[in-house]
Amino acid sequence: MRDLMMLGMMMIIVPIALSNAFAAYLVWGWTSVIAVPYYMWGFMGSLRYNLFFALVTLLLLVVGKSVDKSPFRLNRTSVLILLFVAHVTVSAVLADASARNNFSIYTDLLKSITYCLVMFFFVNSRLRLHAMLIAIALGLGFHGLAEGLKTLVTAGGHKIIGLPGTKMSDNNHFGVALVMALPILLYLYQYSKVRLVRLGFLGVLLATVLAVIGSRSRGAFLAMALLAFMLMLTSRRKGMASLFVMLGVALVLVLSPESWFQRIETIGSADQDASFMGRVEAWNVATALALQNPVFGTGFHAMQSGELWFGVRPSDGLLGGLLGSASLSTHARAAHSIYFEVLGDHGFVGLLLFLAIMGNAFVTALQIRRMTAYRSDLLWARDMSDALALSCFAFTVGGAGVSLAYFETYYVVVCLLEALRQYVLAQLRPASGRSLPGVRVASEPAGADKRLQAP
Amino acid sequence: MEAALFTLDVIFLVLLILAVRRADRKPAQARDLGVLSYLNAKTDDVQRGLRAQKGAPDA
Repeated sequence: MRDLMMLGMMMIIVPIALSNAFAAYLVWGWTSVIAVPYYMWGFMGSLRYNLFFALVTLLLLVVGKSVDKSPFRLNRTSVLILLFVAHVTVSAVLADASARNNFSIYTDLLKSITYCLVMFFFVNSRLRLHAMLIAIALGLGFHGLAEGLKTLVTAGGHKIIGLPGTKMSDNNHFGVALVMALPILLYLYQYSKVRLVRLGFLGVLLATVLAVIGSRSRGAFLAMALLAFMLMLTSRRKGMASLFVMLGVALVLVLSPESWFQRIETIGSADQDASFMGRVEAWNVATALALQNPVFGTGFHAMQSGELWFGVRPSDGLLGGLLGSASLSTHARAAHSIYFEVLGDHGFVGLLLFLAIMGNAFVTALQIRRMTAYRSDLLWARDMSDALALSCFAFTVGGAGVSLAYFETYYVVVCLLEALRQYVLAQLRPASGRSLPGVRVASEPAGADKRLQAP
Repeated sequence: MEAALFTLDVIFLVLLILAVRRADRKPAQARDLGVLSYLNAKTDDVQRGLRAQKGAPDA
């Protein structure tokens, strides 16, 4: 039945995508996070939706069949991403022979980066920025809604395992990805015009909070808690933000099962927890491999091969002292941290570029805040920038405990911040007849020169 | 339940891309996303003030 529904929908979606490049681009993005084959049982599950819509978008872009296309100009974000791609390309070529998934992860990353860079052709208006956020919400938010409702109806008994065959194939990865969607859902709740749609986004937001709890991921829970704290700090409406956070806390306290509390309580005694110490061991192996290959690392997920893992001693790494008398793993493991994942895979230079992309995202958000501080007509841009920055923040915090460094949505959010900055810059150009930050023009209402920030 | 939610999600995607295609056929000032459109003004003090002024461009 689902397959027939999907077939019917595709008969509507494909013609629209073939006639509009940005529509095809939105479907391309949606298919990359929704994991269509996971939800199909029959013949529609074997189709390569992502590849199809990517080819349609690129074809329409090349033949010039796209409305309001911007010329591609290099910007700070795209330069940093291209440098990172160049570095990981060399790293993939020079990868250790035992890195079995090296090229599959590399090509996946290339596809994600292609998607991100194509964004600068299309996303050049508020309408398109908003449409991009909706596409992300329809992708990630759907998982949050479905899993959150399952958690609710089973009173926390439902065990979330993630989406097999995707980058969210683990409960921890899945949890962090959902936390990243929360600020975007909150923005869409605040800024959607139709009341029913607004309430719909609020419902998805609350269900996603439940899904994060249901994932039983301590890292995702910590990321969500810190995200709530940051939301209260950055929000212009601190009272409303606090209300949301209290609602979230109430949800956690009322709906979480006893086993969940027992698991979360182990955060405080991490040094006695085998799962956490296993992570420290993995981080230590990553640093040892990076010290052996400081410039290009060992290639994508090479440390997961037994030859490399057992080829280093605990004392070879920078964190060997933290392991103490902990029993060492009998098999090779994932890095369990975006930072150590990149460090082991691409060396110190790779990590530096990865951190530069991350830092640049927050600098971009701060710049948007500063540029829109005196512009009441761009208040939405400041709120959107805050939402995207909070999404990045969730990734930087939650990612500290999971191997999710090549997660597409993160790079999409980083590029959306840059696209938003470009849009705001275009609005502030003196040639447009509008004012520069701090300069009041006659058409602006009295009091508009006041800095539009909460006290 | 999951099938119903998935269908709903795909329907919203169709609404989104239909709105995008329709918007691209309109002049820049008249573009919107239909039911998925964004608020021109938010309901905080600044925005309320802007909306209160008749004819003033709201945010």
